[in-house]
Amino acid sequence: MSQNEADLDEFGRFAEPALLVLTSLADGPKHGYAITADIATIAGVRFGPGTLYGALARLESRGLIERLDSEDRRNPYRLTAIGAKALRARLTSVTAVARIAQRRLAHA
Amino acid sequence: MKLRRLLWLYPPAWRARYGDEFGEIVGTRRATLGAVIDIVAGALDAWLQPQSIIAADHIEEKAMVSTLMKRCAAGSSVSTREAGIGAAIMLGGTLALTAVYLYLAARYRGNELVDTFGVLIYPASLALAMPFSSFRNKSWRTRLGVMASVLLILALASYLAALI
Repeated sequence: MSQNEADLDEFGRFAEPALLVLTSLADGPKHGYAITADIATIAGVRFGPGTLYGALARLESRGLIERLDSEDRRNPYRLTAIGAKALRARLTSVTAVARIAQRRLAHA
Repeated sequence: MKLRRLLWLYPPAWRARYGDEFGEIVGTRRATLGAVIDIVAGALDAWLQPQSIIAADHIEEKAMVSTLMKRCAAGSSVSTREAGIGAAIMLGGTLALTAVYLYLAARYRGNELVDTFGVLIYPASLALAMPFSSFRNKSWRTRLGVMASVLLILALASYLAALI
């Protein structure tokens, strides 16, 4: 397991929200409200603000995302190169598990 | 109930960094029980596990909390020797519990009970020092009873916070 994967593992209950935040930011910077709406669209879950900002603070602290300056109160967040690498690593791992699960289900 | 009011549950440094945008999002939410629990759990997390991105803003707060906790542990009037014993127990306890935590964290990655234990290290060390400082004039039964009760309450509160 790479160090970047380990970073998300250390998030505890915030690991899944963090993965979805990284996914949401993969197509460009977004502010908190837009991230919540995007995650609701792509994953069908609507995180509360406590969960969202718990994940954002962890991702920002580890350099996986960065906050951009803004003139209004809504600061957008951007995926960093480290964040993109962590997201790719995690997706590779999830895809491998999904493939195995599908193969096993086919024989069940 | 206005959810925005719950923002005051968060640490000042956290509010300074995320308060405005957090308030914007909270303003669009209905005040359901689920929303309240999510925000309260987020506030607990922000106090118990402050992230390094706001650490610079945190220095003053931490110094104040640290001073307050040391006073609580040492009591209002202790001799130099008693203060030394209390400090040694606090320091030794913190080091020993940290070593145990590092071992458990490496062995059981992402385990909520281990996370709970990690949060407990500092307050638990303070509780271990209490019989030799704040409660030094009490009987040993009282000292042990108070210490065990504080540790139990801390463990329960931290475990519940980890579950939320």
